Amino acid sequence: MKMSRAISLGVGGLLGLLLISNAWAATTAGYGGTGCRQVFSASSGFADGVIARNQSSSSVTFVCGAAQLGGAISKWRVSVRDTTPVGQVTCFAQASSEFDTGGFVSPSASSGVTFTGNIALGAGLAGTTSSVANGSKNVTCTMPANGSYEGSGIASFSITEL
Amino acid sequence: MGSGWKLGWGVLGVAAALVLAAIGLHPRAKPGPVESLRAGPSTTVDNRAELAAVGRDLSLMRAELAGLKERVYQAPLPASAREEQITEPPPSAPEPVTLDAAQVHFDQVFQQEVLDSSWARAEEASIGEFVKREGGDGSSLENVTCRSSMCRMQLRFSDDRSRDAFKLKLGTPPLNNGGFYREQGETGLVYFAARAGHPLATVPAE
Repeated sequence: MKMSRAISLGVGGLLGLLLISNAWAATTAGYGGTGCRQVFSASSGFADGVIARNQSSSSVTFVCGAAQLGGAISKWRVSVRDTTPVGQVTCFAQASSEFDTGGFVSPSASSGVTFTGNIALGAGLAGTTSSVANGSKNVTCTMPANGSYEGSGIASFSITEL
Repeated sequence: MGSGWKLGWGVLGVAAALVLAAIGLHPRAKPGPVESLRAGPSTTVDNRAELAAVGRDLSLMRAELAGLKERVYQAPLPASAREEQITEPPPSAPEPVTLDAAQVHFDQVFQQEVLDSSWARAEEASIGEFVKREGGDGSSLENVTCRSSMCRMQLRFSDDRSRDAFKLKLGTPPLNNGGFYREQGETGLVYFAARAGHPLATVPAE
């Protein structure tokens, strides 16, 4: 029965490797201050060390880019600070084409209007169902006007691709 | 049922292989066909019996592998089942697609959908209000139609910049459930907006 055991070993090993290779997923992570950029806002957000901050009196949108590593976005997460009880942070993940002429948008997550404090958004939420060839991945967050000196901010973000 | 589940099976597979290897290398293990041959002459009947046993083991392992493959590469769930699993990632890694293929796919899916009239009328009104409020000067909602799991809308903006600014608002209610967008010409945009609990279907690879 040595031969059958050898075959068992081979098949079992190959099966294990097959399943492990299917478990492959790539994650890109970054800090708000270094990985996020303000877009389309009259007021100015800025990078305070590793934190992307909005201390202005109106909302600011940040786009946090990730490398294109694989397929659809399976998970995303962004750690944000919301210091105002009258506004909220809203974020979503996006898998776009090379020059953003089209793309897939994930369901969005918000901190809640009355919430103040630090919160992780996106964890446990669905990503995108597909991705675009030669495209890009990002998390977009709209930050509310400041509710205190510190204002709203993004500490870190991550995107996991299948 | 995501990569963690797959990783679990993978680790289980490797562990099983190691256990089998350990059994196979155990000094008290029965001699296999190769050892039997080395130990001395064996009859044709013995060899046939060994080969038959190997064949049976191989068949069993093939069946087990087929079952595991079926569980790994699951077929997409129907919409009703997906609603309960919205927090789960897709069961397998979809290949990147082209924008043309995605738009053709969603147009086809949309055309085949049945109408949930009460939800559709309310959603169309809500989207109309949203575009009026957030679209910016010179923007217009050329048409919007909702069916049962998604809405398809065509928008026009005063310029490319206004259109890009609007795309950043795709996470805002009522457009907060995910979707697919495609620019059309210099100032047009078509958007397929998913209904809450009904994520867009994965676009099949070309």
